[in-house]
Amino acid sequence: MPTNAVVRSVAVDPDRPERTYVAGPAGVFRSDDAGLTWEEADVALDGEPVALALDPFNPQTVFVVMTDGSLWKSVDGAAKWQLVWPAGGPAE
Amino acid sequence: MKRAPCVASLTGVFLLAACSRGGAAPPILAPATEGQIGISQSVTLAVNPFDGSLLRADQQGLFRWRSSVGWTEVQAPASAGFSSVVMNPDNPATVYAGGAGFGAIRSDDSGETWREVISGLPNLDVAALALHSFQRETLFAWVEGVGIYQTEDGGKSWLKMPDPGPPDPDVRALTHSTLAGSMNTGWLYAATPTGVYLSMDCF
Repeated sequence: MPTNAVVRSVAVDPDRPERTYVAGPAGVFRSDDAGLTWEEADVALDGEPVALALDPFNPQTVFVVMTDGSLWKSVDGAAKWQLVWPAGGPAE
Repeated sequence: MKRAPCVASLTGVFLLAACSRGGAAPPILAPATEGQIGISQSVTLAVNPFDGSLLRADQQGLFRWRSSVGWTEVQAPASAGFSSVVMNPDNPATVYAGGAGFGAIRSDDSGETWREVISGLPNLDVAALALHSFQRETLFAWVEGVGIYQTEDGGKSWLKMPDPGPPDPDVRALTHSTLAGSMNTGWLYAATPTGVYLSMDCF
């Protein structure tokens, strides 16, 4: 993640609290060491993220909203994404 | 309200958790543009783990998404200026929302009816809300221009926490974590225009 990056949203895996997600204009990033290192997790995401949330009982499921209002969903911890609104089919 | 003990030497310490990726130095994003957006541009999501629906809070209001119908507006005492929404995952009918001009509100019927939960808040500009990871009546609120407040009774009363908060007071989102190493019940992450900060939840 870029140093001093704008962060608009942060979420933590309740089953694995070292796993942290952040979203902002630079994209979606995931850390598996509580924020010491980050990897980009927005491959195939189209747009600028403004908010991110996890399903609390199935935290591999991640939702992201973009500045254009589109809603994206990942069911594998942000490895792959699917556009779920507006309906436009998968955008892997 | 009873306060959890906190070790003085550790209170007030926020750890900058926004680290660079490897490789070439990435651009440092200037916060100025973001700073002009202000509290009302915050957007938060909450997931209902039972039916897969979402709640979204933003400057235009509070909305629910269902895969079958898309987004629909949730009627609330405030019609705009929302900064945050959180849902009790064990009982998703209980929802809290915060924002500019109305502080914090609570619904126990999935947004059909609401009540103010502002007792103890110094003003009505709540920039972020977070629900405790397992103490479902404990929430944290970042109050614009003042700092962080905590309730342990579902919003009936709020008390200011002693820590001044992150170096960047423009907090856009808060999240509670059970990450190991806390001297209390966990940690709070704060999202800001200059990165994400981490502090023990006893601060």
